[in-house]
Amino acid sequence: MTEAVDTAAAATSQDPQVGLQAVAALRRLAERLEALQVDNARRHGWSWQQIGQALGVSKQAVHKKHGGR
Amino acid sequence: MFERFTADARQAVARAQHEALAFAHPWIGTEHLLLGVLAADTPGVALLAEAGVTLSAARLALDQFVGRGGFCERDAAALHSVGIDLAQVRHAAKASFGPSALDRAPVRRCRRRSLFGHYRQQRDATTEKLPFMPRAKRALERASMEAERSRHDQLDLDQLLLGLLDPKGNMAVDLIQHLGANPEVVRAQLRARRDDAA
Repeated sequence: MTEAVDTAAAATSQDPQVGLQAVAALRRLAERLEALQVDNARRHGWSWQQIGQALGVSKQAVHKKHGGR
Repeated sequence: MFERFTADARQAVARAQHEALAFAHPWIGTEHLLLGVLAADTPGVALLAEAGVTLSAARLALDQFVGRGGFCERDAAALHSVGIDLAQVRHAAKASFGPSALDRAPVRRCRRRSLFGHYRQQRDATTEKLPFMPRAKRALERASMEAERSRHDQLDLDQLLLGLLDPKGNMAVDLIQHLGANPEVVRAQLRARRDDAA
């Protein structure tokens, strides 16, 4: 694990393979963090309106995406 | 589907689900079925073990390839190259939201409307049965064919293993190859052994 990390750290992000993989992983990471945070906000009693505002999207969009859970 | 499975084979399928849950994967693939089989003690499992494919080695390889919750080692390395330490993010998520919160956090799912406009129940990986991936289904079908071929009423663990050793390839075959064993040789040996016994 550390070996793989060192290898990537040594590689410049000019390597498209590493750079693109980082972007794809970031998207997935963001999705997961969003799911965690939205659930948490709901538990704290936030409305869809408030959550949408904080995320910079409409309340309909955020409800459509996360309302099913 | 599992009526003909022996008790051992059923247990292997149940273990496959546990393995999938342990990896925070919301599906059962051939890789998890292989882990389920490897926990047992059969001639086929012994053949694999001789070739270096043990339960612990296969788990480690799966962790490298696919990783927990959908982030593999290469993802972690790529994130590190842009300054993000996935281990730190995991750690922070765990501190705020509990053990393996990040890996369990559901990714966006399609909500499909069923008939009459009702939304389908969302799956909950911790309580519900995980779905089989297409290649895992294919492996189970191949195992059934093996059972028919040997004219046994029951489908045992080694037939399940033969089902997993798909010449068309799957994740289980990839893992076996990665660990230095030749799936075709294992398949041929296992077949020969069974035919001798019959």
